[in-house]
Amino acid sequence: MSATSKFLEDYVSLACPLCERPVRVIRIYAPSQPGLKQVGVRHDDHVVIIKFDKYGVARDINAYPLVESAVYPQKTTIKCTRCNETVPILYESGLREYAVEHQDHFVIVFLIGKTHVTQTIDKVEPLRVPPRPNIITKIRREIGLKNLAMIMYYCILGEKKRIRVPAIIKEELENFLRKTFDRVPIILQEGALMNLGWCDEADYFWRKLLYVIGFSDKEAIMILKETVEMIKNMVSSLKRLLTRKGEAFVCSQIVYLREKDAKLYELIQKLLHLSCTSVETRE
Amino acid sequence: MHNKEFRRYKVAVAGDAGSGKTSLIYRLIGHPDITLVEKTKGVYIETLTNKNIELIFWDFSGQKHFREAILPFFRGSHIVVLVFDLSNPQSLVNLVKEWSIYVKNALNDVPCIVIGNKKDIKTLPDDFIEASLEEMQKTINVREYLEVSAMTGEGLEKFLEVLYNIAEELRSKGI
Repeated sequence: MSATSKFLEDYVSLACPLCERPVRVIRIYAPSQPGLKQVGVRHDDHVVIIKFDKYGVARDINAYPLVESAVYPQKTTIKCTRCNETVPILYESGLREYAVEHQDHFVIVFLIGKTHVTQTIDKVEPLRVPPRPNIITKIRREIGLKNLAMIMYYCILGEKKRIRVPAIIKEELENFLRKTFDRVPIILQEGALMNLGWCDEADYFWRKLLYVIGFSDKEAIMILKETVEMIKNMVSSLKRLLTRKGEAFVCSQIVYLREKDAKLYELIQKLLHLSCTSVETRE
Repeated sequence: MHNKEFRRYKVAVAGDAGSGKTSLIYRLIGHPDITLVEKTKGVYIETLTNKNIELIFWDFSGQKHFREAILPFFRGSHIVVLVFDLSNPQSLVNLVKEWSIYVKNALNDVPCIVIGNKKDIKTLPDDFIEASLEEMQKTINVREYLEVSAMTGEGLEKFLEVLYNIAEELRSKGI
């Protein structure tokens, strides 16, 4: 399959969960919701499976080591349900899941003990196109990633903060915030970038921005939008618990977050208007 | 406010994205329309009270990019419900190789209920499910395995009964 101009306009770029290098494939649209369309792409010595929704957004990505049928001629085999070719079943390999490549599809084999299940997934060719800067890369060039994280932090606080940013990036930034927060929760003004400083509560956004920097726009925005929704949902659920069960109970529930992610813990406390250090925890 | 018999238990509900965790909880709390369920972002908390026992369901998003943020909330759970999709082998394999490990690392021998959801469209063979449960049993305390359908409601009464039986057991142990 060649990379036509259509493909160049509409492709997906993600990080491979196995080798972390970019995977680029043509964007696929599932025929209906909630069903997802899965496609597989060869990625060196492994296979990457991407699930698309009906809007063409890549919702999930998995990677499986690729097993060559010829390497295991004497082992247990079954016939592929689609093409009747051989599929090796490697009970003794220690692998729980792996992929076998056939002409126009991959067979994913799942093994547990001496039992197996297979799934057949259509194959697509990888797109060999140079990386294209996404919306985050463009904003980063003008204001830096930490400043963008700080802007996201001010957005989630919900205060109508006025922030000056260079004119060249204002529209792009507004567009980004509108897609991520469903609106622009701050007031952006044109001018020299103001000093936004840094606070630990913005760290979680910074890490998420770093994570999606090489992704295509749709996928980067989807993950950041879901990150914002995740924090809002978490806070709204905890607020309900706060009303019903009180501060000590909520602190007893979020205290474990401090051990794993102290900066996210700070952000959640800030959004709850709660200081657990002054609350005696029960557990 | 509550008499001394009253108990509150935290129930962690986890498993891959799309396995139907939120739909199950919607059904248990008597929500009229599970078609309104949207993908869970982060954590969704719901409570159910019966027989002087309050179950607080913590419904954890199955999406990979939220894992590090939500896993700390596993801690302090009294019961764990692990859900997979009976038509999706990956969701069961991930219970064995990922979710069981998270549970083991966060909680000490907590009773677990494994739920095979979407019984109405089941494709996974029984021997594969049995082998997976045996594997999980090596890591976590699987107390019960149930096949249900949040869509049709099949098996949900039994699920609730098992939840309350385990909660009663915990209460009898003074937990």
